[in-house]
Amino acid sequence: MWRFIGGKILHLIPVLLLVSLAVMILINLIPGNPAYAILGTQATPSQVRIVDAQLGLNKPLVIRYIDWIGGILHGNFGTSLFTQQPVFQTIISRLPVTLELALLGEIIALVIAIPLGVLTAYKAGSLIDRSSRTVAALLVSAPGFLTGLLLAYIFGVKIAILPVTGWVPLNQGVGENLRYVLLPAITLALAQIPIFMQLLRADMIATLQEDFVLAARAKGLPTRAILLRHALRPSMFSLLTLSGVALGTLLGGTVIVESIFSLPGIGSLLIESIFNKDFITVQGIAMFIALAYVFINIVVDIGYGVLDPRIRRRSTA
Amino acid sequence: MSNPELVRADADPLMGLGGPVTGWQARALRGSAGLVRGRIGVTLALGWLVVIICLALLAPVLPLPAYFDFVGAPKVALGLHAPYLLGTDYLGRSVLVRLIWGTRISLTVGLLAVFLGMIIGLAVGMTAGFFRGRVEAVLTVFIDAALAFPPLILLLAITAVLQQKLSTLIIAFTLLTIPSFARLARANTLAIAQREFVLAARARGTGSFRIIRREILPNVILPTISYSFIIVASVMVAEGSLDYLGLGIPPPTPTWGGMIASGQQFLATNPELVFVPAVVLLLTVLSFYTLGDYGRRHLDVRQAKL
Amino acid sequence: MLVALMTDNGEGHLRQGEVLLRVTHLVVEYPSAGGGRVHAVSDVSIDLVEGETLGLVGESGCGKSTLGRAILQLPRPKSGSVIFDDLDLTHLRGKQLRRIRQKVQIIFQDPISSLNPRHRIFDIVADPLRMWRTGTKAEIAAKVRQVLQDVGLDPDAVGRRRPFELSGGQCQRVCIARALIQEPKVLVCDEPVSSLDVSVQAQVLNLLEDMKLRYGLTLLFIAHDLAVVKSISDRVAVMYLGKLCEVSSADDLYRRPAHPYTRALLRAIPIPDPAHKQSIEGVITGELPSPVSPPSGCRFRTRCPRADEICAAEEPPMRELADGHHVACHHPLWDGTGAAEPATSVAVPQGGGELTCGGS
Repeated sequence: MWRFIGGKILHLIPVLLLVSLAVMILINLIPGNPAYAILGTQATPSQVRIVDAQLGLNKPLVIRYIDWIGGILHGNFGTSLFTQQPVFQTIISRLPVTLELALLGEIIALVIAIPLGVLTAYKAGSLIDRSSRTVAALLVSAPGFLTGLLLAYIFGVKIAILPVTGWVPLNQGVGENLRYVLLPAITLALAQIPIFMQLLRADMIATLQEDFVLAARAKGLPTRAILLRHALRPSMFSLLTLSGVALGTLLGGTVIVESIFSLPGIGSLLIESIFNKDFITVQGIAMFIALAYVFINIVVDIGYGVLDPRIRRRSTA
Repeated sequence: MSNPELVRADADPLMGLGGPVTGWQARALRGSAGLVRGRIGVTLALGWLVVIICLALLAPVLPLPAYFDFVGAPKVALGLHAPYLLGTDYLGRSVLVRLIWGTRISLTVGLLAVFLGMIIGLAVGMTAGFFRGRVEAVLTVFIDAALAFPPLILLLAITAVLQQKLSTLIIAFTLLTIPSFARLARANTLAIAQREFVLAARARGTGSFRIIRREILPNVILPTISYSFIIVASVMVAEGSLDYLGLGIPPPTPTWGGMIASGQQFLATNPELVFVPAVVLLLTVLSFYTLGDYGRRHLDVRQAKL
Repeated sequence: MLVALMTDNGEGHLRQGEVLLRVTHLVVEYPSAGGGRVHAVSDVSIDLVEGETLGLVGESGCGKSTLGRAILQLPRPKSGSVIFDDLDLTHLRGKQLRRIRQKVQIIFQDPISSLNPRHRIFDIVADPLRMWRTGTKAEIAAKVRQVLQDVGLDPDAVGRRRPFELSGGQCQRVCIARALIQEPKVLVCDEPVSSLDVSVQAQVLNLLEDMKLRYGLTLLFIAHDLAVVKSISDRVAVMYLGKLCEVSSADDLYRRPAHPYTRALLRAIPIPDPAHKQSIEGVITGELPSPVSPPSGCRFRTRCPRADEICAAEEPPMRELADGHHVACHHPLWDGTGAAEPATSVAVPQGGGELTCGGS
């Protein structure tokens, strides 16, 4: 068991190293010296050189990489070229927005997808089943920015009940916060509902065909009990894995939604930093997102291994 | 029960850009599209794709104005009386013509990037899945690292370095799709390599590359191709998102995402400026997706039989 | 030619002189899920003389399939040697090993899984020739037709079909054809009829015997069904939990089994006679011990009615009881001085000849 977990963590290290390497190389490929962004285009070469030295840009790439990695291990993601603030602090200050958005989006998705999944599995082939699957296909094909725009249009413009831009943090009132987070969260949820629903449906259909369900029926158990208590749990495995990993992906995937609804999250920070040529922040965010993604994946992997012992065996074989 | 290995096998490289249609998600969406499934849906999807592909290919020779020509007053709504049926955009250019030219970009990026990514991904994935051991460990580290990498960064970095051109987008999206294909190919190869006919091939002295070519590849290629349709759908969405954000092909070259972005400011007064390109994008993505899903269901049955 | 030596290095039952295949002290182990090592095959030696059929029997999990596959180096044994054609297969690598594999072929238990579902029958059978590029296209085609006919299939009817269109019996014929087209010397049959219907089993067994004559084969026939093994084998080896218990000629084994395990296996064969009462005396009890930590001394002692302290302390060596009849037991059912126990009272299925049935 511990060997399994240890193996997973061991796998993590080279992955992260590679990611950090790639991040640094890529960012540094982007042309444009940030010194000019800071000093303005009228800067003289000597001024640029001074800023370069200040920022450590004149050191060779390898040294900068080592410094950067060392910094990260101490929680220091560098200092923003633009705001002079520590990148880590900025990320952390913006993290709650993205986190709340991602979590809420996923919760909404699960709340809607699980009952729908069970229902369509139970009534497979019926009108409800077929129509919800059509809707699912449509939702899946629609790009995030499209659903976001549509929702903003309907609920923000036509029936103006929800604000389209802006954000109120939780500690300033849950109700207000909810008003601002609802549309973006629903946008995210709409993208995930069809996926969760179909996955649960597929697993549920398979489970319902198994013998123990037949045995439960023969015992005379009511349908609802069978569905919810006996059949649902084994069918949830894949869904749990998926929602775990989806959360990781979402953390980096809120860019579009934050952009449309002008939310002060990590995604919009990323866009801003890119336009500001603040590549240290960009590096920091990229690394942070990658770390979060890998970490969540490991947790999901381990959790899965805990739940299903067959996985453990397969990995060590 | 879905095979958990395969459920985890694919990851979506492009979810961050609003196209959550690939990966395990897509695998899960078996037999979706209730009314759209089945022969009717597939025929419609095929029909739509044939139409837009023809239009895209014939664009330069069609007897239509150029995409930057002004054909009428700005923001003329669509309708039978409108210039060229779909009206004009906010500058007075023909929406229809711009849509057709935008199709060229979306299709080129989608099809080419996925095709290249599929070939490379297959090679990498099959190698990892067949040879196991250190080769697999190293390749898996690379694949996982690629998947952990925020795709937006990659796209931005590449577009910044190589300029915002068509070839840049193709390169970037190819790189993005490789790990997905590789992971899927690896998972499929692992499953196939355990089958007895592979052992039988080894037992009679077949060399490794021949086994991969003759025994593994034919069994891996079919699910991969169905999957690739779905990846095309995802790439088109992502590419559209990029154009929407202004980070893809810059104006005045028409792109679907770009048209949506420029139409967004007139959403209240002329919503069709957003929704016409949106519908075109939606239909195209849906068509690729339907085809891919149908192919996968069709093949899965065959495989289950065996 | 059958000279027996009384040694206790485990090679006592090996024959001197010309043997086609000699396996000595083969050990196969692999890591088990719980963290130990599965001792699938523990120091087994066996040999094959040209033209004979050696039957290898035992319960599921006794290691017989593993032994068969380890001979082909699939997987490579942990230690031991496999001498064929003056070469030790355990030392061969790469192309050399692949070349030798042409001469030592194997057919498996599940014929349908042994065939690639995407290939056509003709291509499946032609593949080995194409791989080694033996002959022109026309020559290969002719050979394929010939061998398909030999195994009783009509090349025109099945050539273009795919495996899932054929029955289990037909697929097994295809597997045999594919093996035979390379004209091997040794054919390892790993439970080739276990997954087939009873009526089809007889046909495939007859086919194997025919092919053996026609192609001059030497067979290693692995099975758990004693009745099947008796009908086809010249010699029989009995395995239990990774070790050999008894080796003797087929007739002798069934007439007077020396190892308690062999007797139990024979007693367990159901007799199709309602008047016959199945004797439960001496039938073994208990379950197969774990191959991860097998019992000390004689591995069968935990289920053997004759076991005592010696059996726990010392592993019994393989020794010769009578001409060509070897057993590894401290208390065999009879010894060279005369019968200590009555011979088995089981009516052994008569006739090693053909069991005929109709059908496909």
